[in-house]
Amino acid sequence: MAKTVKNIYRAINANKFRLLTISLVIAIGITSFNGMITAFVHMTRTYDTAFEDHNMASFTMQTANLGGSGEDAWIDYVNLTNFINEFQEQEPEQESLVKAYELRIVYNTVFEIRGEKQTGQIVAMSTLDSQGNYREQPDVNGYKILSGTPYSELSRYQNVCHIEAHLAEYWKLEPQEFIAIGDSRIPFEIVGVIGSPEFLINQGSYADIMPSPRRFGVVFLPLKAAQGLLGVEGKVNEISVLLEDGLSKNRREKIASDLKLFLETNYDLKFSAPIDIDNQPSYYLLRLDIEEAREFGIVLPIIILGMAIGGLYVLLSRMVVAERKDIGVAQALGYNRRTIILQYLGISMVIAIVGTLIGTLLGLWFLSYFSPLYVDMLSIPFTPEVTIEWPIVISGIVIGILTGLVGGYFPVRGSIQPLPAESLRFDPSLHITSGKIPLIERVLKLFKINLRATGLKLPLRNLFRSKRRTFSSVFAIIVSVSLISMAFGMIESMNESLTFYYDVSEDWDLRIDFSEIPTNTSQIARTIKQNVESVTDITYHLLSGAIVTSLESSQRKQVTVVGMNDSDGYLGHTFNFEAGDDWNPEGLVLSVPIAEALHVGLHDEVFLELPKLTKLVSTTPLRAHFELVNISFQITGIIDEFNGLVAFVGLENLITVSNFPGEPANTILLKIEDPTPERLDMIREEILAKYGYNVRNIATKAEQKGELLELMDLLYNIIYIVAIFAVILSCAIVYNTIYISLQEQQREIATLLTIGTNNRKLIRNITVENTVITLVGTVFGLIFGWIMLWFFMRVILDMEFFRIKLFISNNTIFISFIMTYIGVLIAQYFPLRRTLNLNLAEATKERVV
Amino acid sequence: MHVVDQGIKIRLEGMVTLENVNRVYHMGGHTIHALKDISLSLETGKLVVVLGPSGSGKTTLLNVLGAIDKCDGKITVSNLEITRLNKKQLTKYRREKCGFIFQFFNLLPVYNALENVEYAIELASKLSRKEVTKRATDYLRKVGLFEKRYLFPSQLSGGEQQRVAAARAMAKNPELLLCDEPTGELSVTEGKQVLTVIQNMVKERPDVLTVLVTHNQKIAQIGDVIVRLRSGEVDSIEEQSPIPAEKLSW
Ligand SMILES: Nc1ncnc2c1ncn2[C@@H]1O[C@H](COP(=O)(O)OP(=O)(O)O)[C@@H](O)[C@H]1O
Ligand SMILES: [Mg+2]
Repeated sequence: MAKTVKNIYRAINANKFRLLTISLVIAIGITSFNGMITAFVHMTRTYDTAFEDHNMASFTMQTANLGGSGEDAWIDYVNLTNFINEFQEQEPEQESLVKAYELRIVYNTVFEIRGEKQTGQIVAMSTLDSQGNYREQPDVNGYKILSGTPYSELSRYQNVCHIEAHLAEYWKLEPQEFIAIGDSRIPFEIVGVIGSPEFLINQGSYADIMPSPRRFGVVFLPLKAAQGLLGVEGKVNEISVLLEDGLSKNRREKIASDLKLFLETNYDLKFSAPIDIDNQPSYYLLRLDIEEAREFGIVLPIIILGMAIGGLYVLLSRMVVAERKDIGVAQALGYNRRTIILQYLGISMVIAIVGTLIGTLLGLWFLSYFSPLYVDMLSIPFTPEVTIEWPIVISGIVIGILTGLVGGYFPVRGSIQPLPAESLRFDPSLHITSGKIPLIERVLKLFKINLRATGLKLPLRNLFRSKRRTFSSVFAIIVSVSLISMAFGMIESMNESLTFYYDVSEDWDLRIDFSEIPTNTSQIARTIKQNVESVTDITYHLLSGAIVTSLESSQRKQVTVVGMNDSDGYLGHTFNFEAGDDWNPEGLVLSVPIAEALHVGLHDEVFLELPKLTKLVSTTPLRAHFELVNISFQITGIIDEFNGLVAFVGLENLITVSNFPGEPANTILLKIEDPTPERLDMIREEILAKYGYNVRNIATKAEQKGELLELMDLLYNIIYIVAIFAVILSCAIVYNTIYISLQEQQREIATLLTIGTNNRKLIRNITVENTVITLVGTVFGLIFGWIMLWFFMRVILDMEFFRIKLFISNNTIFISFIMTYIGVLIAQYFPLRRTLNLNLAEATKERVV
Repeated sequence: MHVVDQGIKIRLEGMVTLENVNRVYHMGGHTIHALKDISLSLETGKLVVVLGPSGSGKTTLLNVLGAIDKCDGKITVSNLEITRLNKKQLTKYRREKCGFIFQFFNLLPVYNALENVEYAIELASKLSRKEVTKRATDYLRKVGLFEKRYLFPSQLSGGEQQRVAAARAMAKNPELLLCDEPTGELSVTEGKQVLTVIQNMVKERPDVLTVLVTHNQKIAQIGDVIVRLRSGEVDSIEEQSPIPAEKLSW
């Protein structure tokens, strides 16, 4: 036993650097496993705890005509309380399941903050409990006060508000400041900034691909203040219900629909479909986010550890081949097979354990950095608790050690089969030689090309001397090139998609968003074009959420519909058609992810569920009653663009269908002559000064792109980490393989030197051989890189919001080749230098590995 | 018989001369004096056998002659003082003047017998491809392996491999043929064939100095001169009439 340990120590000591590289690969695998999986455990727990601690509603039900006026928009608070109590009495079984409920007002409106307009939502709930006593927090949908104070007992008589953290951060708002709310701009004093799990991600709807507090800010009001503001004394428009813990989604939905049915049939109220907690936008989106990153966190370590197993296999099988004579001696001396296997297994275990230890520590470090980073990136006001997850740590250790066992056992077992006598007579350099003339040389001979023995014949023969040897070298190159090209391809695909989107698809220089939909847009556009200098083209769009349904597959998809106005041939958007070839204002243009999800193609019919105006309350601001109608459209184009959940229809068409008054649009797009930043700024100021009354935001393309980039930061961060891992891994694996490959040949190289081959020629031959291996490996590596890129981007990071075109540029190809090639050259440098400086007397005499 | 005492100044006029050659190995804490102040003069056209027990410095002596090991002192090979050459010149020296036959054959496994010989000729000469092949073939015929010239080392027996090695060493027209225990890995029959090949070459080429190292008294009988080494020192040098290898038995 002691002897075995000593042998293991000796073997490791002799190869420490190379063994360490394999340890490093394992370490990276374990790091990513520990880091990512634990990070997402933390994340999930952070959200779940936030939801639980703050009594997030199990389901929410809003009036059918939310934001409108009249019977189906507002319900009397006291009546509704009685109705719900009645429901609970009638259904005692369900009553016990309702823990609490809260009647609220949710209303989309405008704010004026620091003199600028901002759209958003007010959320209002009572500051009294059901007994009429003051309370600090509502029973359902609570929040966390980040700065300032809770409402006081007097708050309900005052115009005070809490503002949600994202909005506060965007405008740098502090308690004691004022903001104006609503069309009549009533000032409200901010008493506190709050974090609400309901608004972890500040998103108006699922279809808003770029949640930004500028587009959707949330302000909390005392119920009474909100009622006064909106002129709906004693009314509410939303019910949030908190059920007992642990009910299934089915159960929750059943109770929700029972309640809806009860209220609608008995009291003639009208509600839109209840929203279950699972479908709550902020919760849903975060989970989606986590899910994707978690998949990444599993797949990445699997790939890396797979490579580690490959690396160990190559390393040990070659080590065993090289030491076969010693093994034979040991066997002849009476060591049994088990002891010898144990010895090699010991080496691989030490590698694995060292790697696992490093990986576990790195993983913990990574974690303490990653979780807060993630939370910070989304400005989530709930700090994750960074704890060591022992089950994950232990799984990591088990996985790491298994890697060592699997990678070590097979090559060793295989090579200790033969009789000691055979092992004793074994010559490793013959072992790696097939003793055949390669086909390519015979072909060359047909063309009367005879290579000289001192020329390129030697590297050529070497390349073909042993399938296993060449394969493992090429394999290392494939691993390296595919990893690097995949990682850089990811970054590039994202960049390229974004660049294409903003340089080509989005064909405008300035974009004006309105707070209230104007109904005389063509007139506004005309005056801007006439009065503002250097505006060459101008057009406008009407954006609206809608659901696309395919008749055949009966699949549904929530999308953003853009009603496009064709102003003198200027659309403000350039289509990148995958199917179809021209914009047709009569038809519908869909993005690829929607077409894929719905299983529809060109010329198919789909339904768009659009709001149809039934009653106009006022035109400025546009207040109206709507009902949803399904309109059939023919698909005239399918586009492959960055924005993944978007559909385009002609504006005329949309207006006709929706029955909108006038010429409504919420966005005006401008094309500017020579759009330098200075000029854009000037024009922006001019438009704000002249037409600023209803302008919510004027953005340049660069600004909009910047906003998006900020949002994608997390993704970029993950990809950069993958890229760094990829490069380290590549170096480790290439180094190892090339090193071993040369080590095996050391006696041959020494012989060549002894009989008078000069260093230059020798280095040339080896370089030629390795270059060919690198080139061949690069070709396959790029193919695998592409497949992996596809796998990661399309399967793992499958986000339909963004449609990322996969792309590996010549630059990436070049970089992956060069980086790998440099790795190869470095790898060949060390053993070569050693051999060249070797005592040839020794090298030619003894078996040296 | 002609015995030379250490310390007695001898005239150095042979083709190969060694003057006060020392080789010290430093291993861990202690030093090993593998060659102690060796002075020798060797003539061409002779088969010099270096005989001595294991560890006496035979291989070291051969290696410093072949310039694959360094030493202190002065070694001259046909007026070329190789102990003063730089690395590049040493490579040239080995390429053009030395032929090696190793104990472990050391053929290039990726080349067949013919190509192994061709490689050495190409290195040392500027012959055309045709001439190289012709010469290599001639030498393989000389060592009795014409039929097997397209076989790879892995397809040849040890004795055959060693005969290829001999052909490789001689075909490039060296001035020095250095053989380190060429029969160490071979059976007696195979060994005799290899020694015969070497003896024939010595006879054919009076311009070549052949040094053969062995620890075997019997094998030493094939030499024209026997240099006995003991603990890194020359014990004796004696001339003898060689016995043909095929008549030996060990
Ligand atoms: N590279 C080396 N490092 C240390 N000692 C060596 C080395 N090579 C040879 N020796 C020592 O030098 C002495 C002579 O070795 P060598 O010339 O190989 O003997 P021989 O060939 O006669 O058996 C021996 O004691 C041997 O141990
Ligand atoms: Mg020896």
